[in-house]
Amino acid sequence: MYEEFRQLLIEKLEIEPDLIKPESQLANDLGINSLELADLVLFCEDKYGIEIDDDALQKFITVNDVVEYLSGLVPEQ
Amino acid sequence: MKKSFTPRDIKSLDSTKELVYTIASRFGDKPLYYYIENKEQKTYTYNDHKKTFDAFGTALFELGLNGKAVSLCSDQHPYWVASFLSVIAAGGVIVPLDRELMPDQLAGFINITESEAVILSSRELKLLSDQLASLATVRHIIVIGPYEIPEGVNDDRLVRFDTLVEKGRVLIENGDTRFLEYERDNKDLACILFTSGTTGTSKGVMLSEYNLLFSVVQCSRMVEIEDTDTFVSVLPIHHTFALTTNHLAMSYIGGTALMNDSLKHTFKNINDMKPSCLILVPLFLETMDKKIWDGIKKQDKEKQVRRLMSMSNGMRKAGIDMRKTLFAKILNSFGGNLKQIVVGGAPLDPEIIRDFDAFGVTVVEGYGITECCPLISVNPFEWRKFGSAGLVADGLEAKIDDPNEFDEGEIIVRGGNVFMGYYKNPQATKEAFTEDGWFKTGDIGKIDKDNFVYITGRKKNVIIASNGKNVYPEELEEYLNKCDIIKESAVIGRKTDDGIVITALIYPDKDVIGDMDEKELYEKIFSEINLINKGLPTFKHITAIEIRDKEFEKTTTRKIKRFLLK
Repeated sequence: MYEEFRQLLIEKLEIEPDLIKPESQLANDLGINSLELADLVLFCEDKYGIEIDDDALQKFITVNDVVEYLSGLVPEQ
Repeated sequence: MKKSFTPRDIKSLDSTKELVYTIASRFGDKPLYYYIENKEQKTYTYNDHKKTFDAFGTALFELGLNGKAVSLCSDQHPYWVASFLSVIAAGGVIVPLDRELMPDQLAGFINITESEAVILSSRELKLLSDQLASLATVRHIIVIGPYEIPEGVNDDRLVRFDTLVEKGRVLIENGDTRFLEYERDNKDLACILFTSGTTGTSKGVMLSEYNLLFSVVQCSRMVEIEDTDTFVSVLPIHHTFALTTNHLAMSYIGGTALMNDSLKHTFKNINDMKPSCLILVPLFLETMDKKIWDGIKKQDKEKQVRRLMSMSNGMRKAGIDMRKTLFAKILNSFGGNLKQIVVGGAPLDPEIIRDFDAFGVTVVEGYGITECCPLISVNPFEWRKFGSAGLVADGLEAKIDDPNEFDEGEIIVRGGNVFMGYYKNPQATKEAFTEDGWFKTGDIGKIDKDNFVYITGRKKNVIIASNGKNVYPEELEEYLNKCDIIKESAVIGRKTDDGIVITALIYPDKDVIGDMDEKELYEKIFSEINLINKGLPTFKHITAIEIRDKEFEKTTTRKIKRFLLK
């Protein structure tokens, strides 16, 4: 899941690949704002057929927070 | 020819009842709102608004809630607007609360305002479920929208908003005129808006019905929206900017809005509704602008588009406007009908205004403050000055207090939209006004000969996030200072190329850190800050720290000298 989410950050938000690490902070290290994150979350909902609670958004601080949350909802291939 | 602006001839309003009745008679069965409930889009007309307003107001009398304080915290819903207006019309005090507050903070505000009822949606009810017992003054918990009672909650104060509306409707049918005939003094306290997250650091801005309606009429006169305009309301509804402009002024003019049901669906809803006008904070425009340019760059067309923009700007000077055709693809990505964006809440990069202008969307920038309900100035549609926060609003006087050699100083204002004072805080109220009654905005700036305002700095500590929300350093410092490892802290908004970065300056407790090395110390403090951030809305997150090895310099009253912080 980490690799898939990393690809999304690169492709959708054009984040520099070298900057992305599991512990990277979405806002501080990667410059992602809340609206971009919300847009990305919607994309993940469509891609994986899941629903992500709006309130979860504010708990996403690092890349790993999102990856862990998605891993809990998306069955492993 | 010298430009000028004449505010539109729009009638002033004396009461919320006059607002609701006027718009119902003018616009009747026209949709006021589209809103999404249980994934289904519903319509709420101007007539529905009047019926809900009257019925809920009558129910308030029946429950003995007329003249009482009522807290209101829910997602966007037409009933939010109707209940806001009904409580005021029934002589009460409405206390709109931020949905992003933590449960103990919400309960704190409900308690200090001695609210006798709270109006919530199911999400907030769930959030508050462990706090319900502590709400001692609350007699009724009124639930808006889908009625989902959290497990374990069994409170006989719970009642559905719909049930009360039905009750009110039947009472009116049977001749109950208590609400319909009631007239309140419009100069009395009608609304309290809190400025930050905790009861300890927040100030309650007290507004009268007169203040609110003065601002609604002011916005209607200054902002050129028409009854043909359609909107998607995306900003939090408890914000005065959104409430006054996107809801109350929009309804006074006769517009129609789709209530955005989630931040996730913002762009989808804009595409579906195809709005002609949006009321936004800079964060949205920055994201929209980035999306546009990312798309252009992906197709390797940046050079081509920039050339088209330059050609189009040149043609416009010759009176030929081809923007709708030239930039149709860009405009279509926001529905295709967008002609105006009103932006406020925080400063916006003028480059973004120029981009949108070149594509065919006029960005109108304004400036306001909760204490003024909020409008202080706005750039008229036909007379915008880049870099200015706009022309001083109709009916408001603004001037610079004690200007320096560059004519800069604190902006002070006087007029019908200026608040009554801070709730239960006479000292702060006294400090907020000059001796001759002008409100001190705390913003530093200048005003030109045409009465346009320019903001150049801030006197207060508040940090303005790009979503327009205020971040009060004192609130974050309160959390930081609770950590054992932190002896003193100060929070500042550091200006960087990426915008304002909320930065915590930390003086660690040397007794606690012992012989910890620098790396370990950073990690330890970061882990504490991550825990604090997890309990806060994203816009308040502390995203940088700087550790210092000396105590902060303080005043004689042991307060940190903030003006020395860089």
